[in-house]
Amino acid sequence: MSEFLSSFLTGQLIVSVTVILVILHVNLIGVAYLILLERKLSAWIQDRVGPNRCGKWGLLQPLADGLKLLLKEDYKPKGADFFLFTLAPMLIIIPALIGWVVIPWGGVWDMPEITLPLVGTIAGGPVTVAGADVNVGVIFLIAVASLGVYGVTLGGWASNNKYSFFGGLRATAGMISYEIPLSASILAVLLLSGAVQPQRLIEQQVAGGWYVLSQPLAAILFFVCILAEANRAPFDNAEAEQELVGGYHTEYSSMRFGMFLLAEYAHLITSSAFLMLLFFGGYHLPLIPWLSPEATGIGAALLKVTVFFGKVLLTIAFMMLVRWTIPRVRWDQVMKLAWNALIPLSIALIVLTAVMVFMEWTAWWQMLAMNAVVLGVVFAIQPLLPKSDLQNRRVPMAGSRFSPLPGEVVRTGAMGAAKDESGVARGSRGVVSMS
Amino acid sequence: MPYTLKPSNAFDIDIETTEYLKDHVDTGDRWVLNFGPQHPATHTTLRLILELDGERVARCTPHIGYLHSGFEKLGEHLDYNQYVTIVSRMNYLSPIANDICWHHAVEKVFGVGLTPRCIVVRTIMAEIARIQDHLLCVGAAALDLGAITGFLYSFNPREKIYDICDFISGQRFHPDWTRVGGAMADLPDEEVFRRMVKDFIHNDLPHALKDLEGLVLRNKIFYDRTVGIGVMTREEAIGWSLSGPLARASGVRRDLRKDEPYLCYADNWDGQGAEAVQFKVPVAEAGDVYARFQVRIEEIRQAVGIIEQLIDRIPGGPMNVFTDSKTTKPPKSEVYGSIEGLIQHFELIMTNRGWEAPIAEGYGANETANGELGYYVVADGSPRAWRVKTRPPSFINYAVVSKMLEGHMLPDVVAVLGSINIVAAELDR
Repeated sequence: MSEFLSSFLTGQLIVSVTVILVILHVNLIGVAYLILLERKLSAWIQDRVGPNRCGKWGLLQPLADGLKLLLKEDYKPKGADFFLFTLAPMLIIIPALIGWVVIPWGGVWDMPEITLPLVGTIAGGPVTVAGADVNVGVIFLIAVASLGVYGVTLGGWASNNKYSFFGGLRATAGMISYEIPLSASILAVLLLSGAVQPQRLIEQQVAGGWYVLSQPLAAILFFVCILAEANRAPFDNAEAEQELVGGYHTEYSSMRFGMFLLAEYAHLITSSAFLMLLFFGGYHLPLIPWLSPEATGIGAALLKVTVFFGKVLLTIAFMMLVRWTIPRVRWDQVMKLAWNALIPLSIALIVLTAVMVFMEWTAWWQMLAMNAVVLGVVFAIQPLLPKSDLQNRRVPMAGSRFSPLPGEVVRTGAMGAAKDESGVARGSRGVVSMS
Repeated sequence: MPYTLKPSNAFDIDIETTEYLKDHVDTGDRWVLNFGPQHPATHTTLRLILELDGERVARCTPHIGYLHSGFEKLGEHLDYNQYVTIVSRMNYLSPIANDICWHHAVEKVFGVGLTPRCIVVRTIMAEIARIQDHLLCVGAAALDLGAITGFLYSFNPREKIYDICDFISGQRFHPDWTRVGGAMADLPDEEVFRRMVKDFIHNDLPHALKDLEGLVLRNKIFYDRTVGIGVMTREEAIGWSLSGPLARASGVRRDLRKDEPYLCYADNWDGQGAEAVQFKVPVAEAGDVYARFQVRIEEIRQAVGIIEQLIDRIPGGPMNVFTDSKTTKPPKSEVYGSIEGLIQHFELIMTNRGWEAPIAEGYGANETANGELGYYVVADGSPRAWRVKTRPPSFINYAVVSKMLEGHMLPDVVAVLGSINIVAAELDR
């Protein structure tokens, strides 16, 4: 028995299971409290008080909200595809949760040898304080995180509601546009680091400076893209309340809706942790020896987890500030931003980073200079680019009364006019040329 | 002479079954989207039938009547002072402007003049109402475009306006403050009133305006979303009889305060040669959604200028005019001090007695925040108007919504609706 157990009960497994359990629970409760944080932050921004009825400072508000969601009627609209309607909330929340597994929250812990009853001795040694030490962690994260959009699309499709459908369509279009600059900005970092293992990325940033110094443009691109990926303002077109009521979750109620809500914030945590991992050194803070990869004590590991969470929280707070400050970008302008600005810029970054790596000019100040040059070139050629007035133009459409096709004959005045005895519609049915 | 609505075949239609939707070139790939009447962006109960090609609006059919509550008909059942409580509820964004306009029309028909004190206080309140309305409109536009913070920033100073209304009338939201020939009461304390108004225009409003301009008007995203949307040219604006900021944003120099001046906007308003208040009428040329907000913000500035000119010059004397014409309530000193005053008071107050209104009819209009608000009053000598017809700016301005929208996109619907600032209670009456 004990031999069988100890054959697969390695230190890494124990740590991984512990981390998964702890992170899952801490984050899921944290997600509920992120909603409270968002409400408090928005209240602070807007000169309000925010929730303060449930418990001290509204601390019980997430529990009350959760209870309310659980007790609500689970409504299914007529004509909805029940299977997909149920599947969508799951499809959106699972990728967001899986993403947490490869984030190296606590770096490496030099585990001592421990002896457990029934099991026997478990060999010590360095273990990664993460759900899984996947050696293609970054690729895995991209692959998993972008699965979330299927939940949005399916939810919008299955609801049998036109507003939901529009929300799903917009989410799909946004995903297609923003996956490219997102991946490209990650690629710019990977070219520099030459590794896709999360742990290695952090070690290299500790050694050579955070990648936000070497690749600031890529960091900005990445931040914009994760806002768009997580459907956060100003890119929250898929659920634009003022246009699409609730977008893809218009028809969802009860805990199904709660899943969407949780998934949105879980996505925030995943993508913020991803941003910290790629550009802000993960758990590392300069000048604190316990936060370097060399420190492998249990205290150091716990401190690293705390610092990582703190950084993630700061990023999320910044995303919330963005949300409560600026208006929503119209979805065609979102596409335009992606295809006209972000994608060319990110491709230029990749090419130049490759050149820099080839020439071995990879010190952070050399990369910073390269980024500054790119930015300068962008600002220099931007006024020379042809301007299109397409985006807010009134487009001629067949059958339209006030924006008809050129030469189209428009009939006016007959809308809803009653027919008299002879069956002829009254009212001026005159032919008016509106062009 | 009771007014009855005669059934007419012209209106005998059922909007739900009429085949107006098929009355176009059927391209076969259009979606019909029912936008409203319950929708977060329609603010109240507006309904648009949108025919969409992708997200482009090919045809937009506005439906009205979801908030019809018989406001106009009630004008035939309530006397000239009572009806102010109803008009106050038409445009609930700036209720006191409706009060002032309604009694402006009634006094015009009755031929009642006002005391200088009343004229000045009414002008101040009319301008405060303009600020109140424009603040909400710009804030709600920000809300519609996703910037919820701008909405709340515009609401904070409005709270001060409610305080001022509360102070002078006892009600914060619907003041119902005016009466024929004056107001329901004199200012409780002129010094406090002056301090409140000054505090509002010097402390609260500048901050809010700065925040709003920074968050909304000078925001690149807002700019990109509103410039070129819903353009009305000057000719079109005149042709569709737009008024207010919509017309002025299209380059029409039309402002009743200048063109048909009343209150302090007219010269010699106090009978002793006082000059009209100085202000400029902001006019934009672009005619798009963005220009409308620019015009509104600038009108707030001009309104502050008007208030600053008047607030230290509130004349003394009575608030209400006292005539023997049995149309205005006598001052309390007359009620308690003379038998004629007492009789006149009871004649006006008791429901079985009433007014000696002239037999006359006429139209009085004010330049309110949304445009020309007018009342056509038919007085038949009885205590109640025989017919009151409202000319609501929302109704006239709402007529152009399809013209503005067609050829634009679904997200532009909210931008256009926000810029017109439709109040459904006033639209449907």
